[in-house]
Amino acid sequence: MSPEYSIILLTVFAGAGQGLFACLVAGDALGFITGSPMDINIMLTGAAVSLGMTIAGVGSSFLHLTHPERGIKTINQWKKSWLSLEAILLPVFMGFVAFYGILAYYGADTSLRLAVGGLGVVSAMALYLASGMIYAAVPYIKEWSTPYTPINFTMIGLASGGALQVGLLRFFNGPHITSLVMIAGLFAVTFTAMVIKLAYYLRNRRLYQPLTIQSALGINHPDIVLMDMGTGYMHYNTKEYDYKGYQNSRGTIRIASIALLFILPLALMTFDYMPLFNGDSAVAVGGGVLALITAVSMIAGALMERWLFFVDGSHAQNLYYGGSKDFAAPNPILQASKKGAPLPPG
Amino acid sequence: MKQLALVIDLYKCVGCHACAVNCKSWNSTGQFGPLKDHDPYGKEPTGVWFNRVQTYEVGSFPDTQVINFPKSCMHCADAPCVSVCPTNASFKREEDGIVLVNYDDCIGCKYCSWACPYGCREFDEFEGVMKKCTLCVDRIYNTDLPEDERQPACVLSCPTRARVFGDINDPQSEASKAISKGMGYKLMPDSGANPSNHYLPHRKVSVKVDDDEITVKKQGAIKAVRRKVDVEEVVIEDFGIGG
Ligand code: SF4
Ligand code: SF4
Ligand code: SF4
Repeated sequence: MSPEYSIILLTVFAGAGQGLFACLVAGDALGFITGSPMDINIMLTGAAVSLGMTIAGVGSSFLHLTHPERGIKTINQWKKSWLSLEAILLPVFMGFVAFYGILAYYGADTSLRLAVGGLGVVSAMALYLASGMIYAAVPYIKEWSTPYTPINFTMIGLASGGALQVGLLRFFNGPHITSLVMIAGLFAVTFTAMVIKLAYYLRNRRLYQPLTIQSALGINHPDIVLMDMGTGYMHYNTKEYDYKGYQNSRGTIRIASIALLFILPLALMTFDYMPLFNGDSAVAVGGGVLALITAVSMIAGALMERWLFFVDGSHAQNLYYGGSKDFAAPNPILQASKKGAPLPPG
Repeated sequence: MKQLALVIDLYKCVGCHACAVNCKSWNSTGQFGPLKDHDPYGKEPTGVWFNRVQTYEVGSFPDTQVINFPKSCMHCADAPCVSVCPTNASFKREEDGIVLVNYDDCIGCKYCSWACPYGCREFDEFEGVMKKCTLCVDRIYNTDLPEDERQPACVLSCPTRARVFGDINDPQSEASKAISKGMGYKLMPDSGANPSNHYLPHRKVSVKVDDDEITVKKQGAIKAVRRKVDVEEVVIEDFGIGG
């Protein structure tokens, strides 16, 4: 599939914004429980950054729509379309974040603030699910139609947002115990996200297109070759579904994305946060600069990861334009038929 | 429930592209407004076509068959493009099963085109909306046209009558008869979309050619082939229906 840069920006930035808010509220609750509340600056900055990132993502996704002025029409199809649900949940989430920030600013009751924050976290989680399901619900792109997709969106969003939140805790010298718990949590989330992502890549390597050119044309013969696609030049279907760009660099980009998204952050975390575990909360190496680098590295890695998610997708309609050669694994049904076994019906 | 659709005979289709051209022509001038192209007379012409004819070669030389394959929206019974649309711009008409896009509601998110297994939706970059075959809804009910022309433009233009239009749920319709008589089948029956358009299978055309009538000249990688064909000995065999 061709990469939609506006959607890549939307899912990465809004995903990090959601993750940041979820971790912010978790930190807030932790401060409440342990009796050493988080600094108000952390809450305000966190809410502002979360809101800013989500708005940036939404803004870029509006650029992708050719008729954003009709966006309001998306609100009544939420029962059938995940895209409609996402369009509803985005402003709901942003509303909760803004409300939380306002409550923090005016020093409202902690339990009220936490309740609003909690609802915001619920909407953030629902939003991850809706965003992921937009892709997972397309059965004709096998790389996308898997539970890995929403889980992956959630984990990477939480990890990159968590890195931002830990950066804030570092920068504003947040409560010691909260910092410790959040760092341990972030480490665990990042590591799990990496395992899930690698498992997903492994899964894709074994994937094959279950539909065949035989069933696409309804012709029961093992050798079918496209001779003429009917037009002299590319058109929407060949451009949108059969993206050929950066074929040779994709492996490098994949390694870079894993390094930036997981390996480097895990290493930086270990290095930067060591003093904390020695009970020395005041020593942030370079005043939280390393924490900031961690977050930036993760977001850069996530942008690459999302780009690969798009270009890895191979649509069933490509069968009409020359088969499923994009898949790493050959289709076993087709292989069997080439060896002389009859094609199974259907 | 009524379900209008096309039945396309792959055996009769000669790949002349008349249906595709007439489709483009009607839909550039009909009630839905223009259907513009980029660089139409240049080197890289591209634009929306509702109907495209592709050509495949089946088998391996010298035992091959050429299959011309017109493809337009299947007006699926369980159209996945309709269920994913966030604005309901894509909809399926209750009264005749035609799947249409309301160009005034489409936000251009392209989600529906991802959800179509057949690659039958095309994005109009000039208007920023998704488009596709309308089953000539602006012809078939058009009282300004003489009665015998109230048919899809592609059906009218086909010189070999390879395209039949009708209600596939009415056993008496010409389309249903063509399907049952000609062993009509659906593309990707396991796609879950339940397409309404049907195809009639290609039948193998055997031309008897003796070995000494085939000259193969090898010039590096290029093979030049000359055949003298005895047209009187055309044998028609069943080609087999897959899917
Ligand atoms: S062929 Fe594609 S565009 Fe047409 S109804 Fe089916 S899913 Fe929709
Ligand atoms: S591109 Fe238009 S018709 Fe297609 S899903 Fe989006 S709003 Fe609906
Ligand atoms: S029915 Fe009309 S719109 Fe559809 S392919 Fe035929 S001519 Fe084109």
